[in-house]
Order: sequence, then structure tokens, then C-alpha cells
Amino acid sequence: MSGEIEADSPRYLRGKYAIVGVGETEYTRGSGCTTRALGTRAVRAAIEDAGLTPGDVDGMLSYSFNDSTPSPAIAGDLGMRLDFHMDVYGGGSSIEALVGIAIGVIEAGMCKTVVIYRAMNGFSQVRIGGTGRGRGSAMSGNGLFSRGIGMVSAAQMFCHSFMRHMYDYGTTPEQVAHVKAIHSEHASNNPKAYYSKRTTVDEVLASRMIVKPLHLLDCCVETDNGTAIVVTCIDRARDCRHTPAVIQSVVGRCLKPRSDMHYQSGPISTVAGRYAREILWPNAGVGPEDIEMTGSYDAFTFTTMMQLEDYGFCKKGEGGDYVSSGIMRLGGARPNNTSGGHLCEGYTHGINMVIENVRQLRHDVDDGCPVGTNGKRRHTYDYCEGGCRQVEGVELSANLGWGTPGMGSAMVMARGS
Amino acid sequence: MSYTLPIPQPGTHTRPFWEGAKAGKLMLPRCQDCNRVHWYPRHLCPKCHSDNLEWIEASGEGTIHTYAVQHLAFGPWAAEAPYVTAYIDLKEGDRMLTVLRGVDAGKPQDIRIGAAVKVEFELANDDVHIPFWRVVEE
Ligand SMILES: [Zn+2]
Repeated sequence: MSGEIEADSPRYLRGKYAIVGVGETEYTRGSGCTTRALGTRAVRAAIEDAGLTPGDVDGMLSYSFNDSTPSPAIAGDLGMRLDFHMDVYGGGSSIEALVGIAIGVIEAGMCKTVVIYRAMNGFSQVRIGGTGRGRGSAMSGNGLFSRGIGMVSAAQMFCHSFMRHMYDYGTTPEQVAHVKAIHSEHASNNPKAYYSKRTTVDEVLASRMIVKPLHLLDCCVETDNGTAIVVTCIDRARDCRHTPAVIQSVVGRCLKPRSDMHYQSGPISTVAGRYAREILWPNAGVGPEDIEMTGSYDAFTFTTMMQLEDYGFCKKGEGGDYVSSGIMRLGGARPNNTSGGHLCEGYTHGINMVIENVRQLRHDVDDGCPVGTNGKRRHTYDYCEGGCRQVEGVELSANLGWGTPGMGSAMVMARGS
Repeated sequence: MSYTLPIPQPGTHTRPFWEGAKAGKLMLPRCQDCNRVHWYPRHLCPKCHSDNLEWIEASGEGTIHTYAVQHLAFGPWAAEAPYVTAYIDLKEGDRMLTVLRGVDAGKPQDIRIGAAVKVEFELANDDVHIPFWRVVEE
């Protein structure tokens, strides 16, 4: 661990901020509306969920690939006058980084409560899978030699790392296919999930090849949706509607060496989590062994596996064993992506995995269990198809966000009081 | 036969590379302060940050570091699928992304990480010859 980190220093604001509201629109293919409408609805839902009104929220952040609607439009639609806003460029690995920025601007006295959203027509308008982003601009730098040979999609670019991981450690496609199978089990207990049908390891391996070693079902879904969370300080969080998800530490867009082209800095079968973990765990004051559930970014089955490994949930090289062991299933020792994640629930560049962990930490995840007279679900902890997906008694979660093999973000959250 | 795939345009920091390519030579930037080669070409040495660069004629030899089989490609490359991409460990140092030749994309089990490869150039237009790497028969 890095000697730079003073784990007991109060300046890292451990436990001082919380996520108090979450909201989303339906996960669809063909929203039939603008990203402005999606963003506005998601922000409104997250603020309502917190028990606040738009007038109580004075900060706004968003992230996009220039495929969305910026904060001033969303705020205008909701009648909000903002003291702070910023719309940043980027996809995966943005949300944890933006939570850190929200904490920073509140701490600086620039505003009091920040809503963060991602609004995208990720299927019906700009598809990241290769047909949308990155084709138009001039070829320069590394792009001179990658775009010239047709490399435009994330799958095309990341797959070399996955192949080298298989070579270095004997990881097999069959092991990694368990990620999809397990996330599909979780999605079958999530009424919101775009793909709610259970998928087997054999079905993953039998699906058509996209970029070897990635089959179609190793790749995430593309959907249209708006998603949002509300961040505020712990004192205000206690006045909100739900049990807060208290932020223990964040890491934002941490990079590997040679970040312009991480492939030049071996080993390429190691991802940015190897570096991010040296901030994440000391700042949180806990280690991976303490974490009860994870949200490891699943743009691809392999990204989930490589991150869990490099954040230290298993020994280096044993990610294949970890993800195929059953530990990530509901009812296992450390479930991952209990909503179904990007592989099944919907594609949001990471924020839905944070939303899910917030609801889990409230012990009020929105599955099919009956709602009691107090308005909260009475969970059965029966994880059969269509059943419960609440992790029993969960107190501590980790989100592991992926941008590229060379860029990652992460966050530890604890159940508040 | 005309070259139908996207053609890079020689730029500020890459012109000597493309001039070498026209002559069938693999030119690489090397730092005169730390003697290390880097790829891709840029305005300084990314290893010691010196501006003191020179171009050397490289051996054109390397080995496969990793590879992937591209079944779903876009634009003009879609018609080439499936094809094999690879990172090449250059004999002189650093890695270069390429389309691998001399391999069967339908038999990926025969592609061996660590296998020896050699560079070759294909004429794309009068100014640009594009590097590809071919597996050396053993
Ligand atoms: Zn140098």
C-alpha cells in the first residue's frame, strides 16, 4: 500500500457525505424522447426519492460523450436555480469521480446538495458499441495506427488485454461466462432489467463471436435511459427520507502508467484498479475482505473479472476462479451487480451499479417482495427466479468503475444510521 | 488493386516514419539521451521527456504480445472480418498495434503468443505505405 495515504486523517472526509436519493427512467430500446426528458425525469425522481424538492438542490453534475443534454437545460425544466454545475466528458468511471467532485464542491462551500445524472439514448441515438462514437475525427496519435486498422469499438480495443490475461493466467472463456450467467440470475429478480431472462454459461459460449475472446453475450446491452443520484453532507442526509448510503472513500479516474496507451506499459493484463486500490482501501479504512457486495463494472464479462482481481478480492491471476466460484451470486459471500448490471439491467456508464448498491444498503431493494405497511419491502431472501434480490443485512459495498483497461474509479459506501 | 481501407495522413511527428515506409523500412523514434525507442511517434521521449529525438531504421522484427480476432468490424474494415489484430513487441522496444498476416482467423488456436513476426508494407497511395506484420514460418 502507498505510504502517501494517511488512513486515519480526517481530511479524506470518510463518513462525512452520503448518497440520499436515487432515480431512473425505464431501461428501454427506443425511449421515444429526448435525453433532456430522460435527464429531467431521472433528476426529478432522485430528488423526490431523497424526500427533497428541486428547490433544495443547488448543485448539478453530469457526464456524457457529447451525446446528452447539459445541466442548465435540466435545471431550467425543473425550475432549479443552481449555485454550481458542470457537465464533464466521459463515460465509464465517471460516476465515482463525480461523487468525489460533488463532495469537494460542497466542502468548499460552493453549494450544499448535488444531483448527478447520466441521460442517454444509448441504443436509439449514439451506440457506443462502435457504430456511433469515434468514427468522424481525424486520425492522430495512437489513433493513427488503431483507427487505420478499423479499431473503433470498446470491444475491439479491450480484447487484447483479455486475451493476454488468458495467456498469462490460464483464465478461460467458460470461467468468465459465469459473470453473465450470474448477473442474469440477479436481473431475473429485477423488474426494471431490460434483459430479465436467465442465461447459462453454455448459452454465452454458444453465442456468436464479436471479438475473440468476447462472445455476443460477454458484451453489455445498449439501452436508452436517464439515471441520477443525490449527494449531500451527512448532517443533511439524516433529514432525508431513507437510510443514507455513507461514502467511505472515492477514487476518480485513476490511471495506469503510459495512460495515453497503457498497452506500452506492461503487464497489460493488469488494469487501473491495481493503482486505485492503494487509495480506495486506506481511505475507507477497510479492505476487500470486509466488503459484503460489489458493483464491478460489466461492460464486458472480462472487465468485472479483471477489476475484482486487481482490487484485491482474490490473488492476481485467480480472477477466473473467483468469478466462477459462486461467490458473486445472490446468497454467495459477496454478490456482484445484484441488479444485473450493464450485462442485463441497462447501460448507463456505471451509475445504475451505484444506484443498486444505495438501495441495497437501505435494505429496501426494489424486487418483487411484498411491501409492508411501513412502505418498505418485507424481503424473503429467497433468490429463486422472480424472487428476492436483497442482500441480507448488507452494511458495506464497493463500486469498481471501469473507463478503459488503463482508467478506473471506485467507491466504498456503508449503511448509515 | 486499389487500397480501399482508411488511410492515415502523415502528420507533424510521423513524416519520417511514412517516408521510411515508402522505402520498405521500419523507422522508429529513438531518444538520444536515454537511447530508448518509443511507439507511437511523438514530440518528446515519453520515457525521459527529452526533446532530443532521432529516427533509426529498425530491424522490422518482433514477437506477438497478444492478439484478438475481430469478427465485428465497422466501416470499410467490416468487409475484412474476421481478421486478426495483434500487439507486436518490437525488437527495439515498445509495442505496435497491427493487423496480423500469415494467420487464419478461422483457426485462432494456431496463433501463438510469442511467435516471431516480421514487418511488411502495403502501398495504399503514392504517399502512404501501411505497415502490417506477418508471422514468420518456423
Ligand atoms: Zn529518453
